[in-house]
Amino acid sequence: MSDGVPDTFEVTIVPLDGPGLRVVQVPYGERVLLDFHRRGIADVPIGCRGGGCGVCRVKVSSGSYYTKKMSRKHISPSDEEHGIVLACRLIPLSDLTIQPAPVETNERADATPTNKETPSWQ
Amino acid sequence: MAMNGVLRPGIIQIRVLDLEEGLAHYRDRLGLDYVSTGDDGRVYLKGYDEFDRHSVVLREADEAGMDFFAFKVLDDATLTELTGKLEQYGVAVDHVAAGEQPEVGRRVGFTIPSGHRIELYAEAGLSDMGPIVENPTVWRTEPRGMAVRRFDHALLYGPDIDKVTDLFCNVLGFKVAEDATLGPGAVAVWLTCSNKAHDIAFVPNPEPGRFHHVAFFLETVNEMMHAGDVMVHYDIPIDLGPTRHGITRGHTIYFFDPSGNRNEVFAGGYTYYPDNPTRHWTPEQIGTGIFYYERELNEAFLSVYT
Repeated sequence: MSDGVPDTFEVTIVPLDGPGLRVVQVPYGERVLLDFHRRGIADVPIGCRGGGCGVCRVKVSSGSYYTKKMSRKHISPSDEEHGIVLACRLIPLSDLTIQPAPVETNERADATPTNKETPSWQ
Repeated sequence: MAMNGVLRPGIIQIRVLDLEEGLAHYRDRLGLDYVSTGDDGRVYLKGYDEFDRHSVVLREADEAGMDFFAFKVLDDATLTELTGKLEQYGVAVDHVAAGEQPEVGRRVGFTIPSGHRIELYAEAGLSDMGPIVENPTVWRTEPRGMAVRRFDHALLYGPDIDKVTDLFCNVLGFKVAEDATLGPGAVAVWLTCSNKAHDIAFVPNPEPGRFHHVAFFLETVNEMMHAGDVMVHYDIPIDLGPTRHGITRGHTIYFFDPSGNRNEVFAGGYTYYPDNPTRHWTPEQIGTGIFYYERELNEAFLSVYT
């Protein structure tokens, strides 16, 4: 772009388990998960795409960004301070590094209660 | 008049993260008619083929999901009678004064074992935008967007569905049109208080009070294909469909509102009568029961809800 803002930002996904980083060029202004979905990248689970269901919870370990409103059921104010967001609401303002952060992996004492327990019959 | 007691789904109050986006979705895309905005900011909407003043209420909140599902009952005496039955059964009821929602009479509310708030009410003002009653043409103004006709049902997720079923059937007079055994001790139910194949449904889930979807009625599969065209044109995320449910036999598309609440457009479904036996689904066939042509559940069916 002529004003110096890049057309894309580099988003590096650190897998929760398993080898290898994936690097994706996300267009300026685009929500990270929606771009992944269009490209068929499934490293971050996709759910409601509206900040409501919480399945696409990720931790941003580097970079700057902003988010559209996210359900407090899944992202607490403390989560936000720790860079934990929903990828469907995440819009990069620089290159980012992210890692999936499903609630059950959350080490914090005040973690949002999970609603993703495996039902007993599964 | 065979139908009495609890008549039908009447009002659903849905939490949205952004009211403006929610209103645009439910009014312009689904095609509900805007009725009013309350002093507290709640937005009231109705389907073009509904007589009562409103059926869908949007409330801006920090979490998505459902505040409550309210059934309309035959009359005020029925409301009093059902309240007594609920209390006798051991349910703690509370009372919402008439006018808490515009032109809606007194409401009786209670929390069911799955963690959801259910309400009953008998009176609601008639809409001046309802179906025409004298030499009626099929609509007052040509419908917008997906052209949904009315609020149809909801599917809710929570624990203790056996207790929920007992309450709905033995206190409120519902029938189990279908049930599906998902695994040991886990039975999902499709309950009806009318001629519809379901008016409310429950799937067992460890966490109480969760909202799987609210469904809106379309008459035909052609209308459903048009709704799908609207979804694609406006980039509305589709969860699954168009397809059919084996359970209820209705045709369906699941999609999401801008706050992540799942919506459904639902067409058809068989006619239920209270003397019909319950239809059962076994664990091996549950995929076909939920998504008839795919014959398997998608990942989101069990894990994505608000």
